[in-house]
Amino acid sequence: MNSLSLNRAALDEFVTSRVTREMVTYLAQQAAQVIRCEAHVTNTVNPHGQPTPPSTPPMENSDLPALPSIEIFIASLVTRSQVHVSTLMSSLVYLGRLRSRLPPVAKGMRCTVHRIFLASLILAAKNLNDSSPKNKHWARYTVVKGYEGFGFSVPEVNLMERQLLFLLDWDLRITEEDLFTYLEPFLLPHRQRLIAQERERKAEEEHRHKQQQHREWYVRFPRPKSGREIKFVVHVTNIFRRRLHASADLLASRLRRQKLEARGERRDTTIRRLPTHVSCPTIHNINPQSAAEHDRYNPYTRHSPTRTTRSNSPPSVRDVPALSHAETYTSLCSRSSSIAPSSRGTPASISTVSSGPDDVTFSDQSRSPSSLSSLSYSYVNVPEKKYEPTRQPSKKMKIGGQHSGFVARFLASATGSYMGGRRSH
Amino acid sequence: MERPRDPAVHPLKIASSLVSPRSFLYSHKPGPSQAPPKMDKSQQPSSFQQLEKLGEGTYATVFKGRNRQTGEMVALKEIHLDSEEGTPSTAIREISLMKELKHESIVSLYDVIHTENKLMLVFEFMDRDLKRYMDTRGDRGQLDPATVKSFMHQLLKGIAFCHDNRVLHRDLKPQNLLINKKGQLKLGDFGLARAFGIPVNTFSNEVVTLWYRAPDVLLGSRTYNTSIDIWSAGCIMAEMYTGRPLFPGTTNEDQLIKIFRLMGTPSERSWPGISQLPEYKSNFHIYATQDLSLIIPQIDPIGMDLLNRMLQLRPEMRIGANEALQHPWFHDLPQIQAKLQQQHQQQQMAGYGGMIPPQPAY
Repeated sequence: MNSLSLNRAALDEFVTSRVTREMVTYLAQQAAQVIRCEAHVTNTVNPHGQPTPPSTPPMENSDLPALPSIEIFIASLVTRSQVHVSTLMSSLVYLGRLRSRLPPVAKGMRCTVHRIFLASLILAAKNLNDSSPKNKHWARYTVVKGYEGFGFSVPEVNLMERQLLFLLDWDLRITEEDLFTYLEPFLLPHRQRLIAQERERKAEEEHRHKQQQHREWYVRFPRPKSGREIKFVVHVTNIFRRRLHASADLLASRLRRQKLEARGERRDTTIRRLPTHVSCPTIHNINPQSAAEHDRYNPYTRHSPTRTTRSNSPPSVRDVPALSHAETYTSLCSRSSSIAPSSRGTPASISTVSSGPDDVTFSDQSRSPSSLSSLSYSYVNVPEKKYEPTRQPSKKMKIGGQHSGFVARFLASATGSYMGGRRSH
Repeated sequence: MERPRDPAVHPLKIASSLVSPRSFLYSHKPGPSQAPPKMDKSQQPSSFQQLEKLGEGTYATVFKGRNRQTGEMVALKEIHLDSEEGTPSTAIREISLMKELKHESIVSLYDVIHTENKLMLVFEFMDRDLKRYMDTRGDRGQLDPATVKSFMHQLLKGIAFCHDNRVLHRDLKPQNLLINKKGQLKLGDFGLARAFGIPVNTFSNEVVTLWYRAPDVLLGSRTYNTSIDIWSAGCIMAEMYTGRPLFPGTTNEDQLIKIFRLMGTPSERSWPGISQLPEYKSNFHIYATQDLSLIIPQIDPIGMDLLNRMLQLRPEMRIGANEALQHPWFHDLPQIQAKLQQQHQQQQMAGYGGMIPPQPAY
């Protein structure tokens, strides 16, 4: 597989996976990096004499409702909107594009990052899907449990959408290359798995081939010397087969079957390997194309048949389910309130957080984006566990008592006018 | 193939009279040096004089307009913004796609003006749409073979450019093809258009106006591709010859029957995988394939060959736009264009043109 087809295969797998906590954390980080938020920036009247936004009168800081962290906000949005992974993660493209377009001096207000993220998600949904929620639905999705008074009104949602369109200059095209770039941390583990899978397949094929050669040589000559001789000998075997004894006949037919099997595998290795007692013609009845098709649409079921028939080989990387199983948005929701005080989500704070021994346990190392596992996943204790085929995502989660880092700083500095504080609907 | 940009055409920018970048999404570092961004006059709605209404659709009204600065005629597509929906996804895609699709066979988008309750798209002005052109210019709607060939070539060039840029038009029909006085045909109305080729898209099968909808889409396919635009182009080609729609169905089922009656009922044998499509029924009435030239006697055999390649039931069998442009039927195009040019000049001398009220559907 070349790098392009490998990336494509990884992307195909990724977009069918489910929303995980890693994704939400990563989105929160990326959104926070788009713009610096400043507490003192307040509502202003723009040069054209129109107050922005029109619906929110100035408020005293003490009146401001609690602001959920961007991560909690995203997790809540994901749960309420049931947004698909592909739409959710494509918003990274717009976040990145906006970041590159904004002047470095640009500063946001208290909930600017929330607005930017929501607007990016709305535009991704509208651009990528033939049917998508209306803004009035999105406004409803902005309510966060445990944060009474927080949420955006429909006019506010309309305004942030219009502003993002302006800032992006309507440049909403998403290319394959964009996806490869912005989703790289998530594609990497998929690629690694695909490579390992391929490598293992080749090794196994080679092994089988050698075994077969060995058996053939064992019949005729005790010591093989070169490939050329092998061919010759196989030929000789075929010529003289008829003259062999009944026992030799049996052996030859077994050889033939092995050869057919080997050939079948070479054509498409995803074909189920049949036990030796199954007769040869069955192999030809399996259409490699349909097997491949099946793989494409059921990327998470593809390896189960292999596993059942190869009990002799140790659990391999290819048996590990993809990123998807780590955690679903449903579980994200139920926990969103409990994770509030944690310090995840910003690169600055991450280094200060040490991975406690009893932190979150839900993921295999092979499943988490590797570039993240060293960074933002410091709060995730990834145990070296052996693969268990039916393992569910662990429900264990304990949060350390650290209140420092991004969330705390964000809240502490939020002294400016709070635009998204009250819902008019 | 990209046409060099007309210097008179303003680069696409959004009027920020109401949507200031300095508003609350983010703000610049406070400082007295920050002057308000200079507004180009052409970006203000008032810089276009709104003239007569050209047409009205479900979500937009099109007016003729005049650029006050240059005097240039434009088409103003006014989209009313529903406060519950926000900016419609159709408008979002139409703008983001047309911004990139700069081609002589695609209507140019000059400008976008986005205000709180309306969105105005400024397009290059075209005299009328193909439907109106056929009604007024043709003989009972029928166009002469030379015009059909010229239009088909331009249509396929526009389609090929879209497909090369990974865009599906998804609503090709005579009403969405615009004609100007120079005899140019351009693709308009990209409200249903979509980018394709990335696995993060989801597609609906409720696309393309029924009469021009490909059988795979009618059968419920959501994995359709560029070939659906080719089917529409085939239907339009037949319609230009006869003056009547080729498959004027009334419902989804009726549309399929009308297609099968002419093209023959497909089977798993002629179209492997058809029985897996959601709307496939095993009890479709079996029709034999008819000879299209009986319905379209005006068409020459080489043109018939091209039409047949475009109207293949099975999507994989349909000819691609670039391949179609290489079809032998277009080999005599230079001569035909020269002839049309001559006719055009004669008509200009006779004062033809401008007499027919334009009604483009942008």
